[in-house]
Amino acid sequence: MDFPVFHLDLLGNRGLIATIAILHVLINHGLAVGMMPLVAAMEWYGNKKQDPRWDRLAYKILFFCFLITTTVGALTGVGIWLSVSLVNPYSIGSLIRVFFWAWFTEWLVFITEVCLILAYTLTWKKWSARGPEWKARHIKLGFALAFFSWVTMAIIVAILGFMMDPGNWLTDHSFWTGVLNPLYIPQLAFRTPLAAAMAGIISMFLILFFTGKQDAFRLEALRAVGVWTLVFAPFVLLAGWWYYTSVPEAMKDNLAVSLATMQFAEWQNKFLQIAVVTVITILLVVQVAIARPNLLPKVALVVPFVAILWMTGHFERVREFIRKPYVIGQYMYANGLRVGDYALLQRDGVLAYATYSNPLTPAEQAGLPAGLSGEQRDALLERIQKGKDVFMDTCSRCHTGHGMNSITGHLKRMFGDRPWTPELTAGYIEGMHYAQPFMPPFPGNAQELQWLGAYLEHLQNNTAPIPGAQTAGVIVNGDAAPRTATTDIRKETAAR
Amino acid sequence: MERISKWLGARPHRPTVINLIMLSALLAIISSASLYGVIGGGAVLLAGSYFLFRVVNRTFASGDAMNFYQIALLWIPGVLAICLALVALLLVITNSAASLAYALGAFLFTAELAMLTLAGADLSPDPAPHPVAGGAI
Repeated sequence: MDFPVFHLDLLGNRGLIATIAILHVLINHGLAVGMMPLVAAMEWYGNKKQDPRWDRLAYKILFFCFLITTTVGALTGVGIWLSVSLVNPYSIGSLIRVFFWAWFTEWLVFITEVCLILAYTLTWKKWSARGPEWKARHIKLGFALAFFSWVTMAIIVAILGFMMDPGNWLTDHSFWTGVLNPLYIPQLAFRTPLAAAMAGIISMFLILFFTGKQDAFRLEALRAVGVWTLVFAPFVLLAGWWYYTSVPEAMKDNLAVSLATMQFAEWQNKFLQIAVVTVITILLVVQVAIARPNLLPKVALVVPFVAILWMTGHFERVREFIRKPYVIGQYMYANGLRVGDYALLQRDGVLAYATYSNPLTPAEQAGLPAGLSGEQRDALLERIQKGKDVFMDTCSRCHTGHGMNSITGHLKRMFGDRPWTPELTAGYIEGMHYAQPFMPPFPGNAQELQWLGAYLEHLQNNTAPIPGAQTAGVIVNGDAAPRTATTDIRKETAAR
Repeated sequence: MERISKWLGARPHRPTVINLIMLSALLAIISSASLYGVIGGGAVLLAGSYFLFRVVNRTFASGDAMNFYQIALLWIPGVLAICLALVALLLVITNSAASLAYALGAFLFTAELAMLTLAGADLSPDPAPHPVAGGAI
């Protein structure tokens, strides 16, 4: 607990990461990894057939992708690492230790990819005008860009797989064991055709905007891109099954909640049925686009477009949730605490090792029981302060106070409006990981559990939002270890 | 009525597709798994064999003149339709008539059988004048 806790009490830390990461995956898979080979293939085909209509369409699609990937795509790519570093610096720290050189390589590959997409887009017209030899070179540039786009994904997928199931790395701690984790190849095998099929569906949608209504080429282009999509579709299904069967059984127990949240967990079967119907609808629309594109209403192409974005985004949510209670399988819990440190923390308490505090604001101090003496009030506030620090260090990476996935929302669902006494909530939290397998065990000691209970009881009567970032340092292991939260270095020194 | 007759007569595959849709609807209503398996399986076999016969002929007739895209354009729609029709048949046979899976399977089976018939018809020596699969080859 060497870093201050960053906290968003309305959206939640999970919401922040999910928003950025899902947006990035949709752009990365749909507009880069899958789209670049499709655009290069269009350029190649147009050149082979000496049909400039393919060339024009390919360039328009590329330019659209260029705008999105180099702005929103690049920002969200960096944004993922920035947000996860803020929210869970310990997991990122562990990953950097294992994957340092992989990340370094990925950075080089990413820079190459950026240079290539700049070159590919900006030289299109110039090189095309120079004659067939330069056109051939340009097409090669396109396929090189496609390759580097895929390599960036291939490296990052190793880290994603590792976070779900580190496999033998847990015993031998070597780089290559981490890279070749049990879920790496199945996940890469799934994401590769998914990206290609996704690019096909997005292209079919874009073709509506980049070709004329009466243009016969629109039908030809729809059919060609439809074939591209269908070539990859069976591989998405086959590799998806391989990926699913490679996921450890314990994670599959989280499937119901990961698919549809705790509130709708019993909707799992309905949800899966909707997913199957969606896949079939996508396939049917693409089949009609190939067989009779002239009969396909324009609006029908919106369906697969929206469906593939939703399904891919939801797949990411499931992947993120299913690995719980861990953020790195068997190694680190979602709260950022290592499994190996639990025995120590449960003996000494988490606050003994916490270097930052989050002092109660005046608004947060409201709502105390009436009729307390000054001394009783101070004592209660001290307990609540300690409880809040326990909450911030052990719960706030996933839960908010009153916002999304709020702790108060869960307590209200379970205990209703009766008083949330420390005995009630602490009793539940002590064994919650048995009732909810996706929750990590409580990492602190018995005293801290009571403090946390006091804080949760206070939250029932106080709806003030929890401030964003911790800025106050505390004295760790000082005499009698007082949790004197202060931003003033002189006060801290005096207290020491 | 005359217009419908003219429309059906204009392309030989149209009556076939309509017949297959009616057959599928009838099989779904009867809701006998064994009957669906035999008749439906037979229909897939027939339409699939016709498609495969035509597509193999077309592929060998064109020889080296075809590129990968053109080969994919010939093969993929029909092969996928066969696979999905078989999946649909499995859904229908293994689920009770009142279930969503049965209804989904019956709908998918009808759609895929129609797709398979179209894929075969588009490869016939006298294809429909639509912008059909393989037409550019």
